[in-house]
Amino acid sequence: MSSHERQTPVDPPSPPDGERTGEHRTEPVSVARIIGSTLDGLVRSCRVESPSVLQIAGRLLERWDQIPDCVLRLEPTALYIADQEILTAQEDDGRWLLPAFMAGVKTIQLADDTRPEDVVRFASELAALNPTLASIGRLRDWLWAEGAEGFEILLDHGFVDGLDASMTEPVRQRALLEALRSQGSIALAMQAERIASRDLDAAAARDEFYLPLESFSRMLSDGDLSLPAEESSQLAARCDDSLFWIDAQVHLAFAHPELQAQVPAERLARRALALVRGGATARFLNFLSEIMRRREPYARKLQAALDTPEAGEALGTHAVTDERSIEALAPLLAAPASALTRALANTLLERCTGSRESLQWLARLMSTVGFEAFCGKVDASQLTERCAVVMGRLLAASRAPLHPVADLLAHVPPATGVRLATTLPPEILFRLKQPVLKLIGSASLKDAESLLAHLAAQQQNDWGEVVGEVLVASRGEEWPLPVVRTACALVTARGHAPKFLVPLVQDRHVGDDIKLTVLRFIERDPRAVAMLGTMSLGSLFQSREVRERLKELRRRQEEKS
Amino acid sequence: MTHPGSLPVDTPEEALRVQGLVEGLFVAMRTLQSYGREHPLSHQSVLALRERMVDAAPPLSLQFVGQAIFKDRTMVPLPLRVYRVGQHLGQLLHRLHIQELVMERPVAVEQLTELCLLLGEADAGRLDSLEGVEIPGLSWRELPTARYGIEVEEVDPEVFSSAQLALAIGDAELLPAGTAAWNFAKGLTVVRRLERAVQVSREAVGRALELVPGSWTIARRSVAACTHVLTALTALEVSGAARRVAAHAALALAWTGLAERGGGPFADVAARTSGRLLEAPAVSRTGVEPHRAKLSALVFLASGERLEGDLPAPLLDLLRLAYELERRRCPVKVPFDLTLADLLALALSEPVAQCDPTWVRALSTAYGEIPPGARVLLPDGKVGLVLGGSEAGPLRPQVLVNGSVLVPGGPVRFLSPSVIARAGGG
Repeated sequence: MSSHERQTPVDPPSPPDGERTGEHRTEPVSVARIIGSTLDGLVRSCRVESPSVLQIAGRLLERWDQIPDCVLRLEPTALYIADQEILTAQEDDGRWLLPAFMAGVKTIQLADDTRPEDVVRFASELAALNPTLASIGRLRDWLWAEGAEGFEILLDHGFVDGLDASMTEPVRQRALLEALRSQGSIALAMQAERIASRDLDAAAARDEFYLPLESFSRMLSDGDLSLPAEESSQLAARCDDSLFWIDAQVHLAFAHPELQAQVPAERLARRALALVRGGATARFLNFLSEIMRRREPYARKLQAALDTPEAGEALGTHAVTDERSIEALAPLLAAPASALTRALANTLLERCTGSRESLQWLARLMSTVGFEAFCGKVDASQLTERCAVVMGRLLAASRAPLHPVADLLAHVPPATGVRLATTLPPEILFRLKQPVLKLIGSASLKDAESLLAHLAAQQQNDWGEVVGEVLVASRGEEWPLPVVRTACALVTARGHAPKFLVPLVQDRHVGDDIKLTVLRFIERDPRAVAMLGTMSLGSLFQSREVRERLKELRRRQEEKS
Repeated sequence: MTHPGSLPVDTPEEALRVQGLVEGLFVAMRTLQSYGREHPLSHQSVLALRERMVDAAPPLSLQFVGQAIFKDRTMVPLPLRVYRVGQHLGQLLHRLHIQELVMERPVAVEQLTELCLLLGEADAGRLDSLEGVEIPGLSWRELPTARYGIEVEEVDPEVFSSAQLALAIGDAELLPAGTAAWNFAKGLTVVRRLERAVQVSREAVGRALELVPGSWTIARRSVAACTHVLTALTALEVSGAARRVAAHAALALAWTGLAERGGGPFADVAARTSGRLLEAPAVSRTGVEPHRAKLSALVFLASGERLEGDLPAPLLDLLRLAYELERRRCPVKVPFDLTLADLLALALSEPVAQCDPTWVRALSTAYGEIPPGARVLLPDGKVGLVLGGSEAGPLRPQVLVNGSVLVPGGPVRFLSPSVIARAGGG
């Protein structure tokens, strides 16, 4: 059994000092103690390089999150949450507690975005800890230099620093201060001046000694040397610019592949995406575009880490809708489709259909990217009705090639497709016959009928011919019967009953229900009825019901005439 | 307090010896408590203690401070068992107002027995048991500022900062020379000391750095460069992570590039430093060290190898300024050195430093408008040395004149070295 398996959350940890009583055995194990035992188990699992470390880390995080604002407090031989001892240092359990305390660890808290990988990394460093000065110093250095990402570690001076502070010998330091304030300082300065005097002629011509102290003085008097608060804040913000650091590390990794292990692509990608939540500026988008364009293995790892629907959604949600962003987004959206760009395109559509300004921005973006290229990124199956309609209109207005719209119609949910189709200009819709016909077949009854009714209303285009051809070619089986009914109405209204409906009746392979439905519409067109009036050999093969209906039709026709 | 010849306590052998000594002392004390002086077990335990004392190769000192044990002021790593024993001993000694034991030589068995008996009595509550006792070869003392079990902060800030600065310079002298791979641990130690020093008393650090007697060695100038960066970024309240990386970069650049007089061009130095940083192996178990990665990236950027991209990099300007200030501190072919005021004035002029004036202003603001070490002319004609700011205003700093510290009645004026010389030293 591997070490981590011993540390299952349901096993109560050993009571302190090895005491075992009945009360301890029956006491329910608190979440806090589970955290302690799981953390210790994780450290031991890391020590033996167990393959289950990530799962254990995930469990630990779940438990940790159950206690709001949970802070682990480290004492030399125990770990606490509030006043509850959750882990005790013994020969096997909690071996890392004392050296970690010696390294200065006081409290441990999770950051807002702690991931299991962060927990494993921290536990691995604890696993490597042993009670030697070098090891303790290494942990101290690693923690001080922000190695424990995903955690907020309160570091205190640690034993070594504490000694430095406490062992400062007052006698020696007094001597130092006296040196600073004593006659010795001035005497030294005067000596230096004398030396300067001797060498001054030789040195006078040198640039180094053109000391613009007068102008410095003047600037000082005029207050020109001070830094206003606003300028200070801006300067500080630029120093703390996360994108600068990410970009610098990425390019270091490009230039020195041997360092890529030190800057894991996934980690940098996660940090980059965290920036997006603050607003995806054009600078960030340019950075992202550059990464997506590169072909090195490290770049591909970055791309893979960034290429997620979540990343695309985050970018789409937080991208600043200005002209600089269009310039920055365009290369990204023009690149081959990916999970990121699909989510980005969809999210932008969702976001920008809410207002006129944003819609105009979106139109400019689509135009810059190229409508076809943009449509190629849209995951039509995820589009809402509103977005599909807006997109359709944008495309229609753009005079872009039709196939993006056709693709859209083909891939959106049927209900959305119907809605989209009904908002397209008639001439464009008529050029999209195939997708429209397919839509009729895939939509609900209500939507299909609604679409057919819309097509019927379009006087300028003869959808009757189109629909009639489908009816004949499919023998009426392409669509459900109610839809066939509506289609027949359309065909008849356009005067195409003789051309398309009569053959359906005459076709032996057409089902009776279709024929009976068709016959109802044929009745409206005397020409069609007349065509059916002549008995043919084929009518002998009709079913009794159809024959009866045909007879009835002919009888009525004769009565009329 | 370090005794030459003793092994560093970080070697396993030496650590074991010290641990054995501590354990032996505890065992002997307890045995004597339980069995008395005459019992064979007591005698045995004292003999064992003496052996361990011989093994530990005195002279040495043991300090019991802040829940740790130190040998010659270096922390002794302790396994749990010895830690618990050490805690007991440390608490006992603390009650006796003892934080340090000094062993000049191995103590005779009789005297060791006496000591252990007395410690046993103290453990039982007789806290005056060691009063007036003298044991040849062994002495003890209290460390007034070392309080058992709580944080030790009670030193004068100026003392603390000056001490950290001095220690930082000492540590900097141990940095690898030439083109050897950079020692990250040592670099971090220097930065950490300086960060603490600046946080406790920025003024004291500035003053100590500029005014402490001694020459401007490369170590001192490297520490100065690091301090400039820390001072500026601390004043701006830049995050700790960025501040430490930049400070470490400044240290590495200065240490690599400065010469006894002057130093190499910044871009070349950055390229060499970049190489040194890249050669250093990772020490963490996972190999992921964000500080190292950012530091390497920053210096790589400073080397100018990466030409593309337009991301603003104000930290590079600060690094360049810090380096150039210290490069000019000791001008080539001239025997005397410049003060910080001289250097800042230089930095503002064209085309000498090519430094961003914003950072010069930031440094001026952080150090005080007239930085420590500046030579100034007082309204009464005397020449003084600036120690730091005063409440009277930026042009009326605290000035050292003829051994006395005063605040001038009116604004002071800067003096260049030539003026000082012409005036015959004021």
